[in-house]
Amino acid sequence: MDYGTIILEGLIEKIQKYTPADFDRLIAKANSVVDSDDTFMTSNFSTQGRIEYTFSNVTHDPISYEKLPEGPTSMTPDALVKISLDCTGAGLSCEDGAYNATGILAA
Amino acid sequence: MILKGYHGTSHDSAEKIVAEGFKIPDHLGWLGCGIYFFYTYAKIADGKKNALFWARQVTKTGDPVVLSASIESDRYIDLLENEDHRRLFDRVYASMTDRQKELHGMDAVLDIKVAFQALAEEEIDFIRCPIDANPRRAYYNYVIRQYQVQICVKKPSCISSIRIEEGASTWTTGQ
Repeated sequence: MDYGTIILEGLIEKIQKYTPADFDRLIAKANSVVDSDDTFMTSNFSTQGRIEYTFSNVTHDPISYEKLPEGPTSMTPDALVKISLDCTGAGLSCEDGAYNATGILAA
Repeated sequence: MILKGYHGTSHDSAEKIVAEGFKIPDHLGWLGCGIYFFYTYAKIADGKKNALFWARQVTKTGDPVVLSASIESDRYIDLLENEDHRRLFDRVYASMTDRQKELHGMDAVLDIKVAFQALAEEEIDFIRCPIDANPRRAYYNYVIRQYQVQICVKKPSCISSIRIEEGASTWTTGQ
């Protein structure tokens, strides 16, 4: 058995004993990740089923225009827009949420 | 395992890295905290071009440079070619989802980044993983738009033979 296999099997065992504090710590780390293709958008996930999207620099980032073809051209540079979507029980996936958020922003 | 990786950065940073070696950055990436490299895999992932794309388009570097380096360790997770590692990582994610449901009594979307942060806390030297670098190009739907293989190195001592790849400014990224 190779080293990586031993590590992964050990991690699966550890997860069985995870506490809410463990999830809080890991989710906080995940939320701080800067997405390489999302210089304009970050998303926050929580155990409560709420997803929050933050849009930034949408008016002067060419990648943003590409992803928001009907984007908010009236926004000022460096503007921040935060949208919270309550996905609890709504059956929304992250991607669904992203598209809905885009629609809200465009409107 | 010995891998050759490519790292995109600015000219000034490249010279500093060649002189002093890589240092672990403060910010976290998709695969956790570490030094990120792109890997060339068959004809679908060009590590050099991916590194240049990163330097030009993502970090907005005006003077992009691509560094190559050798990465060597036997303490790794390989989600590209190791079937056992892929299967077990699936179980890591499933176990986290199940445990979260036990604790909170509800189904909730668990971002895959959370599983990678858990993995990052383990004693490993690097992770190699295939990446869809542009997953939100809606019109591609289930088709991978921008295939990359990334290596996240958590122990700088695994990295050697760092050198500047000449001529990066004349390459096209094709992306």
